[in-house]
Amino acid sequence: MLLFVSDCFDQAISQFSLAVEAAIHTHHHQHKLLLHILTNLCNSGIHNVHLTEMVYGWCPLMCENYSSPEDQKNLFLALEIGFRHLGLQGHWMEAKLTHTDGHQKLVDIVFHSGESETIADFLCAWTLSSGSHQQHPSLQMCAEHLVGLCHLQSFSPRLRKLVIHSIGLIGYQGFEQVGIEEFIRLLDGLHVCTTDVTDVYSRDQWARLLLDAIQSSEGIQCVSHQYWELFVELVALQPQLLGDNICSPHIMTALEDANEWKKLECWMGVLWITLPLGDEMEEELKHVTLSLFHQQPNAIQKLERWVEQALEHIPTPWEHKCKSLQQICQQAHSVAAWQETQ
Amino acid sequence: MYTSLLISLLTAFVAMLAKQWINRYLRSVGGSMIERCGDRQRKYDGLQKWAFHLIVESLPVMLQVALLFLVCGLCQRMEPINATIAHSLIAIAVLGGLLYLGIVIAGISSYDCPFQTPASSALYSLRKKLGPHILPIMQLGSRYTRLPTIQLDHLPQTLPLSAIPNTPLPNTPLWLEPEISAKLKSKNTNDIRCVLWILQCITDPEALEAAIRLSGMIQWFGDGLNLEPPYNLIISTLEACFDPSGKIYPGLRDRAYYSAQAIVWIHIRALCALPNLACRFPLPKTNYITTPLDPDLEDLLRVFICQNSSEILTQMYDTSPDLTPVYLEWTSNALLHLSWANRSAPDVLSSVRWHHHKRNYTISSHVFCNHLLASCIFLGWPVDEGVLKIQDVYVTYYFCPPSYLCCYLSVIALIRPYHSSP
Repeated sequence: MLLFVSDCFDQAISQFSLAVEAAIHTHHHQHKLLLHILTNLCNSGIHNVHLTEMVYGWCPLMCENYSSPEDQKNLFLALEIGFRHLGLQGHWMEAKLTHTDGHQKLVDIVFHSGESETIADFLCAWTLSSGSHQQHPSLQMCAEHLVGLCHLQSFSPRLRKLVIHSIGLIGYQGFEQVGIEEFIRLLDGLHVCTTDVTDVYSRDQWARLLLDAIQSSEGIQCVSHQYWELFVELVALQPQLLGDNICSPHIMTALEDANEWKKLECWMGVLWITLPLGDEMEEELKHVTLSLFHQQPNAIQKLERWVEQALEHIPTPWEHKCKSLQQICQQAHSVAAWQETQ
Repeated sequence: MYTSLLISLLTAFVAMLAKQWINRYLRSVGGSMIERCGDRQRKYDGLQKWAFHLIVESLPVMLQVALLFLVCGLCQRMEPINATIAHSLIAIAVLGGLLYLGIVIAGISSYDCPFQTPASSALYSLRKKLGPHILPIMQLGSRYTRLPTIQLDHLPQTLPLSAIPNTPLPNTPLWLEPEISAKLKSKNTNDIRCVLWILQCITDPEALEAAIRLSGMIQWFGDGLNLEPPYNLIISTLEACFDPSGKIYPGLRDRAYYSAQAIVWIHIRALCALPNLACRFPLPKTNYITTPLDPDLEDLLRVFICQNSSEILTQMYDTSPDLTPVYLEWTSNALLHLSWANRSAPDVLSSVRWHHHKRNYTISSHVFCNHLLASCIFLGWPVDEGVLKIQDVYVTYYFCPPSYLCCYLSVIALIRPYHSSP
């Protein structure tokens, strides 16, 4: 093996990584020494793609040889060295991580510690993707632990961002098995808004997740209004998000029956933007929309705004439908104006 | 007689050539100061390598042979013409021969004798080669003594890594390409000779200071070189910077700093070469007052109070944000060398007191690289001596840090007025 032919820095990191791996396998006194070295390395504040890759490779070994508090500290320091600088800028990293089965042991160790920044480091490793690798295939395992985070008093901006990204990647089905109530509580604690899901993939994931949550048996009752609003905002921003997922018109009647007017205004926005209408459905929609406007006069502006937003991206055949909504809105406006004069 | 004539002419011809070669040696090639100094050292090394002195010293021998042939021919020619004159010539020739023999014997008997001849030098070398048993008469020359030089090649090496218990032994990587290693070796040799020449031949204090500065960076005792640094001279330079009460004299901060750096560095390099060698270059006991000094010098002088390698390691690891980047770089390199020197002493490494403090300053990637490699050594990872040349690889092949460049330039600038043939 030849070293320092082209890049001495990367080669030094490789050698250091091999030394650390050998030290992890040895007995306990080396682990204490490793703790000192990793602490100093961590404090040096130097970040490097190669180092991140190496550090992630140590994790399964550290989990295997996990026997003392020092080992836990070593593991967490390793995650800090590799990932603490990531997670706030986006969902992309240059490092090419190799996920193995050994990494699954990290889930229990990290989440049981309750250290929020370490959890964020771990989520970085499992959720951020590069050109050559995607998120960890066993990310679903984290669903149970993620809903447990609803008990946290507050989320750091980094952890919050990574949890939001993780939830999007896992999808509603992953949380359905764990328990919808805890999941909804976690969502309420996160206060997700459109600025949190900025890129196309996250919007797609979150739109599907919210649609599944809303259409679930407990969705109408449990999902809070802010997520209905988030859903319609996402759909308005990108009407093709839902693809073949059809929004059920039955939700509309259920909401009307339950007098959930705030949620209904959001749902009507979604339906007007996405539903391929037949004459019968259009009539029903107009009818419910007019009754919504009767109950919630402010809904007119909101619906107009969403539809206008959607019209920028919507395919031509749907323009007619949106224009008919605009006509209804104008009618509602004139009715409201007449009522005011009376 | 004709042979004598031919040899004389040949001698004159070679003498003219030698004159031309010497002119070439003395001629400056121009270019930068670094190039001029490097060229001078290369030409000097070339003289040594190609045994230039033998060619020059052969000229008198050729003249002596020519004279011998001339005397023999003249005597033979005069014999049939006039026997008396011929006998007188033979008597003078014999007297001359005896005188020459006496001079040769005198030259062999004592190295201090001023009447050295090529023959006495050759016989002396022959004696050295064949040994005193074969030429007992040459025992007369036993008074010749030279200062002993360290023979690194013949000394036992430090403990192999396998001596460290519980250390995994993967294949030791080759840390440097042989070509790069050879180039670095050549450069290092050149640097050491330059510095030694300045320290031994130049008396100008500024030139000495600049050479001392470079002494704190070059790879002493490396690559099998037997050249010893003038350690005592550097120590006395440091001592001269402080008054008897331990306070630094005004204006001597830089001299004290570079002397102290050179002393620590030479001690560490000696440790790297061989622990026993470090006993010959111990850190001097100092009692300097460090309070009015700048952080770099203060930090450096703290090393002198350290009792052992472990304490030096601890001291070097504990860097504060007040230190300058140049000093941090030097410290990280020294730390790497010291760690390598103690690679076979796990008790030393394990007794290092670690300091954890959040650094609020940025360290360079080179310093970081040195720390990583030192950590490898701490963890018992096998490393060969090539790892110690990382700094040189960095300097030679990647960039030239200002510290090195300034130092090198100042040395060359200062020696320029004193440039002379060795």
